[in-house]
Amino acid sequence: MKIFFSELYFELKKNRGAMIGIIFILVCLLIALFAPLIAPHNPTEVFPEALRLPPSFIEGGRKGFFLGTDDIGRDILSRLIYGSRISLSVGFSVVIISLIVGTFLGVLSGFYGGIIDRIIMRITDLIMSLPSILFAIVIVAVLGPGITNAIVAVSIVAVPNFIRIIRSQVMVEKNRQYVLAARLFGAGNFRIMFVEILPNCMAPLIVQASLGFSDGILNCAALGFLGLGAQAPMSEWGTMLSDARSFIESSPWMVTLPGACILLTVLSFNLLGDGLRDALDPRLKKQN
Amino acid sequence: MKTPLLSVKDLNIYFHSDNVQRPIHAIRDLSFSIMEGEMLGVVGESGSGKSITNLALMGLLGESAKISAMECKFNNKNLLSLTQSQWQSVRGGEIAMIFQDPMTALNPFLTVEFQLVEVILAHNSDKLNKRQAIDKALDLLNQVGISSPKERLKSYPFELSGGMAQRVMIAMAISTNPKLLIADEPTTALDVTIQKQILTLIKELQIKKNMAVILVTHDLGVVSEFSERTQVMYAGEIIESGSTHQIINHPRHPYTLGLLSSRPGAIARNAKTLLPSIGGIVPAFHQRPNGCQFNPRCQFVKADCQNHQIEFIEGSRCLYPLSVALERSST
Amino acid sequence: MNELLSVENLHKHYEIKKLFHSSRQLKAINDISFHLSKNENLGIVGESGCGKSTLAKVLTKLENKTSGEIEINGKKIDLVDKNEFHSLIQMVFQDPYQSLNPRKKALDIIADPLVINTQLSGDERKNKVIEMMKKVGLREEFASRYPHHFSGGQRQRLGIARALMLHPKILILDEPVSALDVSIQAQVLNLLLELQQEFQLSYIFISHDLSVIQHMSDRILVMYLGRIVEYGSRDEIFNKPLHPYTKILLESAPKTNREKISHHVLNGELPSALNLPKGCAFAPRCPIASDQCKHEVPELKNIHNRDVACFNA
Repeated sequence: MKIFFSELYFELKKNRGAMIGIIFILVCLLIALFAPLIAPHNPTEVFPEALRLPPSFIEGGRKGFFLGTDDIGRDILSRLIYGSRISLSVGFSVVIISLIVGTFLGVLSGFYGGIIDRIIMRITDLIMSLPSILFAIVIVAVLGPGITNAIVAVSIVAVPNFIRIIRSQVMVEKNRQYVLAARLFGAGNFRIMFVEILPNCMAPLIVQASLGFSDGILNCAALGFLGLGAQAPMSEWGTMLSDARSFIESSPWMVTLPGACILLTVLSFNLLGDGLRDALDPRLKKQN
Repeated sequence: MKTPLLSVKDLNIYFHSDNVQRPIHAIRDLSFSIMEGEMLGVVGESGSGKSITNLALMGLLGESAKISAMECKFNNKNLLSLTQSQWQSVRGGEIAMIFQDPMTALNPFLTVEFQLVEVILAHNSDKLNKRQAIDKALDLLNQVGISSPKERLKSYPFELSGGMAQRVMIAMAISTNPKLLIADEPTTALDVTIQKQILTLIKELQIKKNMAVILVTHDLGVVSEFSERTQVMYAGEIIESGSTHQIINHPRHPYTLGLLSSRPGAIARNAKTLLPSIGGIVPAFHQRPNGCQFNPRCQFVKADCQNHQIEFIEGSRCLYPLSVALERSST
Repeated sequence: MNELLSVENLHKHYEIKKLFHSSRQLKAINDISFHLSKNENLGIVGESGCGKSTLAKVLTKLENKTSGEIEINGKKIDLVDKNEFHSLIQMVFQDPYQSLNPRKKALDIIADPLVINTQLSGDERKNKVIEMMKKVGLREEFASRYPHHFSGGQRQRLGIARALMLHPKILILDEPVSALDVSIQAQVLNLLLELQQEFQLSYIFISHDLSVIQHMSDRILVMYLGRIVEYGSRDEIFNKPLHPYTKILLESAPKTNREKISHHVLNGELPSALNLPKGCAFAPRCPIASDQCKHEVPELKNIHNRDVACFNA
């Protein structure tokens, strides 16, 4: 594994987009980790005397509020900083949940085939036949709004991608001779599936995980925007966006800034994902 | 004396790579020639440089390769100074090539007819129309000994056996009446009985069409049955060349001797006795030793084998060629 | 009697199902019987598609037999305990590039059989692995490398080491050297012979290369389309083959000795196993086939100290 990652890093270093993505993600991560130290104010603290202030570098701004304040007088910079905590942890939870569930089901489906495969694949077809955000809305509508339920809904929507990728990879790998060799000294099905085959399916999994991260963030923000995700006063980027949309003409920064945060985070994960795909694609890899 | 069809003198091939500072010296001072209608056997293991040489002769080496030679003349043309468009009439026209794995060399989505006719029309010196090209394809399949050629024309490659696919490849190769056919391990992927069929076919075509053949193989048995002259390659150099009979029965280079004596299955030998094997492995391009390339594995190695650049003299590239006719028994 | 393995009337048939067609039977192994004693090598020769790889799979229980009896170490194969079975019979594969898991270190690859079949601690396993690596000619420091760092010959040594970890009595070698370079083949064959002495092994040596079979075997079984065509001792078969197929196989192998070269070429190719000829499977290609051959399947009969399935031998 160690070699795998050092080789991966070597390939990634050549890709400028992926490196920019990684750097931005690292910065986000640090900001999220040290939010209480960096944020100038408490994100939920209301300053009644400072409503809808523009950023401090624009005329009319005030010094204490670098990126201005929102309609009830909360510091936007602090809310964005704390928002990164939510967005990243949401993305992380979504990826972890859908990765574990998707991998497990995908391996079963690809390895056993037959009736198990058919059942799992029909369920994924069902989920994929609806637009993912629509399906997530349905799930949240059933479970009730809230950040936890939003994570669950977005994870369910993300699972089929993982199942499909793992399944096709397992179907290729299970016919390789090293699997036969493992059978020969008595390795059981579960050992073959998860010790022998799964490590050889890592490459597409890593790519999908990084793309799944951005999908997760985006979908959760969308749910937040629709009022089905994080609830006030939680400072979530999607929720901030929706709260501010009635002020889009009078105070454009209130909409622009959380939007830009979502855009940049999603973009950097996509850049990383594409970089990983190029680095891991065996067809592009040179023989040495 | 007749001029040879192909003559190569001091061919050197270097590869440049971003990761390595020094260019890799893949092929070193290769000199050989082949007469019209002659079969030349080239024996070597993987890493000996035989495939690189073939690709160079076909003008198929990529940008990263730097080729230099005192002379590289084919049919009075200097191969090194050909332009791309000139190459296209030489490659597949005057020089044709068949590969080890015929299945991967054929396009799986197209019928045999389509692929054969495409080749015939691409080098269309007789101005054939489509109809005539199909007739010619039929005739070619007949020539390479395919039974019921009419049905085979409509087949897709996956419907052919390995031997049949190799016959189709040969039919494509000879469709332009090439002067030189390069057969790169044409039978390695095939069973022994099919191997014999294919090699016999190549031999017949060589004689019938007066076509020169470079038969590349790793099996000394194959060259000894089919080619008049043989050269042995090791680590990018020709280490021995001469008449096949001479090389098989009186090898001068220790590597050739090693290859011969490590062949299993000599009838005089008792079963289950240890074979006299060559230790070590063929050095990789970037790990080649100083002096004689074979010295780390040679059983007769002497001190000065390691510091001299060994010249090719009297048929072998060895400071101390084996002079004694070694009594060998073989199948 | 010190018979390790005996196979009686073994059949392996596959059902081929196609849409809109009645299912057909593919007889991959058709009535095969042989036996193997301690310290003995049996060579199995045949062209691709003759059923030799299927035979290896049935013997190692990777596939179930259709009918017939296999006795291993005096016990019926179905009654042997799973753990015991793995330490009786093991196999080395043809392609050293495919048979090793690319994401595992050499140490873990070789230790796998121990992890599954024994309760040894990690250190004990490691010691055993290192000891075995030395025996197959691999240096200790290679243990932490991944398969792609090894050359073809070294990989095959890894595969052999893994197969020997449980100290099997029988080792099936499925084309163990055909993917290797000529100068490496001899090294691996020598290693196999040395290991045979050290571990008191019996080999079942499957190959299409007659010279390898000839060098490694005591007895030889020639297969054609799932059936035995000739079965006898190495010297009998190589010095005086009786079945026309064996003869042609021997003549087809490339030789370095010019006097022995024959210009006899076997015509045609292996027919499809789904569409077997009615009589002797070899009859359509046979130079001496008679009318009887086309209608009746020849039984194995004992002539000149070996079994031959031919009416005209």
